[in-house]
Parts: sequence; structure tokens; C-alpha cells
Amino acid sequence: MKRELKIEVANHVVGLNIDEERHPSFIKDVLGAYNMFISGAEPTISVDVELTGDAPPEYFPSSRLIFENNTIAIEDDCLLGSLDLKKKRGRIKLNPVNPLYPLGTFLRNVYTFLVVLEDKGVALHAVGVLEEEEAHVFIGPSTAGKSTVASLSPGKVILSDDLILAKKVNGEFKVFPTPAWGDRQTGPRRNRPYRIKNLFKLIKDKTVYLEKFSPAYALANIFTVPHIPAELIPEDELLTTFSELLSAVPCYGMHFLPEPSFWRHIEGLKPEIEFSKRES
Amino acid sequence: MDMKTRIPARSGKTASRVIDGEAVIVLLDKQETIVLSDVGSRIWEIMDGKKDIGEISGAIISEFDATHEEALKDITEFVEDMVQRGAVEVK
Repeated sequence: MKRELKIEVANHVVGLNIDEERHPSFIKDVLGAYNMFISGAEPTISVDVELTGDAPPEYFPSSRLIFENNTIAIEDDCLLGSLDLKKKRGRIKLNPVNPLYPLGTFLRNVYTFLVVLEDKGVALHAVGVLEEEEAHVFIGPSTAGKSTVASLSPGKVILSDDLILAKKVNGEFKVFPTPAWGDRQTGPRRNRPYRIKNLFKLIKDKTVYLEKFSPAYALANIFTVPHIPAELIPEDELLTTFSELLSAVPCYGMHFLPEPSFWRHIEGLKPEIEFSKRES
Repeated sequence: MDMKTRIPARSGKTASRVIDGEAVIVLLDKQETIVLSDVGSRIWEIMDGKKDIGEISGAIISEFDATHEEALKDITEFVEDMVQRGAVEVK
């Protein structure tokens, strides 16, 4: 007997079909880990989940994402999966050693596909911090300081310290909370879109200051191609989305040290700060 | 060959946007981005794969109040730099 768990992220509901008799404790774990994201809405994508030793081992050396015949195949640590984008159906095999981890990898990919490909949104390696129900988004690759920013924001709500999904809602770019795929998600988040107040590109430095980026310089700094098969994502279209985001939301380079004084600079932001142009 | 008659064209391996007069070029193979100066951005805009460097310099002279020699030198240097980075091909 299969039980369907419906998980909603960024307004997309994915239904996970899991054998209730064979994997009751896994179902309990998923319900616990995705508690805030459990939905009553009908799924737009249905995925059959299997826990099996056929899945790759814990440290799988050849992670792959392949697109063929409308289907994206995913191979990663503890995960073998496929998603038919036309039929909206998927299948995943998870290594039973720690199945929540590869499930997170799979869902992270699926919601990125949905937001970028269907909603023309963006997926950013970023930490989102809420302040008065609006989000500051701090962008940077691994080791740029995202977790540091999250840990230096006590008392604030962390939407995610890993993946930020943003798309237009009623004509305005908003970010959505994502499940606990990063290390830190704290505070009373709700599963709803939040307006983006500022974007910050993280720059480790010896002093703390904010540098207002021109839209072009901001685009050059934050444009990233998401982890999606190249055939599916025309970069030109993605550039348009990023350009629209940067026309709507101010972007700063945040030069910072691992101490919390950057918040004083953010709180003191004035809209009339001059653009800084860097040229090549 | 006379540089003036060479025809530079944007490489197919780039995507670009000009925002507020500044061009951003994405080098798709390398996943790198380049932000151009105002003159570089204007050259990028004019560079349609049909105009030769002489024609491009005509536009730059009138818009940026440059001498013929200055414009030709700047455009040639720009094109050579962009070719090296993989953003431009020259016919």
C-alpha cells in the first residue's frame, strides 16, 4: 500500500509515493523533515520512491544530470532518479542507509527545474534572512561566507543558507523558503513568498562596507547557470530573468569580516548611494 | 591585412545584455562574465558581424568625440582583447 506525501515548495507540489508497510519509519522521517512543507493540494508531479541497495553508494564519484527524451536522469550520492518533464512523473531509488539525504538532493533538483524552467525564476546559491517580513539575500559560492552570515544573524529568521528560489509573484520578485537542505533554517518561517529587499554579493575583506553595484556589474556578479541540463536552459532567457530581477531589486557588494557589524551597514542603507562602476 | 577592413562579430558562445549603457557578456563555455566600459559597450552594440572596423570607428568618432587614430587604436585593441577572451571572432 503506497502512501502519498505531498510536499509544496515555491507553489509546486510534488507527491511522493512510498510503500507504507515496508518503510513506515522513513515516512515518519519525511513528515518530520518536511513538516512545514506538507501540503493538501494536488501534486503537479508524482514520484515513486523506492529504498533499495541498487541505489549508488554514499560517496558516488560520478554525479550526473542527463536530459534525454523529455526525461532528466539524476545520479548522485545514494540516489538514482528520473523525472519525465512531459508526463510529470518520476521514479527514484534511494540508498536506505540515510535516505533523507538523497531525497533532499532529488527534491532540490526538481524544485530548481520547476522554478527556473516553468516559472522563469532563478535559483541562487544564497542565504535568505528575513527582517520585518522582507528578505535580504546574500549570494556567494561555497566558502563565500553564507553560513557565516546565517550564524551572525541571531534572532533573525533564516529562510535558507543554501538554495534560494525566487520568481515573480503578481509582477514582483519574491523568495520562497526551502526545506532543510542547508545547515541552518531558523525562526518562525512560513511557507509563503517573501518580498526581496536587497541582494548582496558576499566578498570577504578586511573591512566592512557596502558597495552599490550598477545593474550591469550586479548582473556580471550574480549571474549563475543553475544545475540544469544545458539543453533545457537557454542562457539568453536566463540573462533576461536576472536582468529583470536586478532592475527591480538593489544589489550591493558586501565586503565583510566574520563579525556581525555588517548588519549596521545594512540597517543604514540609503537608496541614494551612488553606483560604483568597474570596467574592463 | 588592413585592420580597418576586418569585420568583428560576437562569438556564438556568448550571451549579452546592455543595461544602462553597460554591456555584460557571458562567456558560455567558461561561465565567466565581462563588464565593458562605455566605449566598449558601444562597440559591442554596433558590432553586428557586418560592419568592418573602419565603419565602427566612424560611429565611435562621432559619439565619443575621438580622433580617427584614437578610435581605430581603441577599437583594434578592444577587438584583439575580446578575441583573446573568446568573445569575438574576426572575419
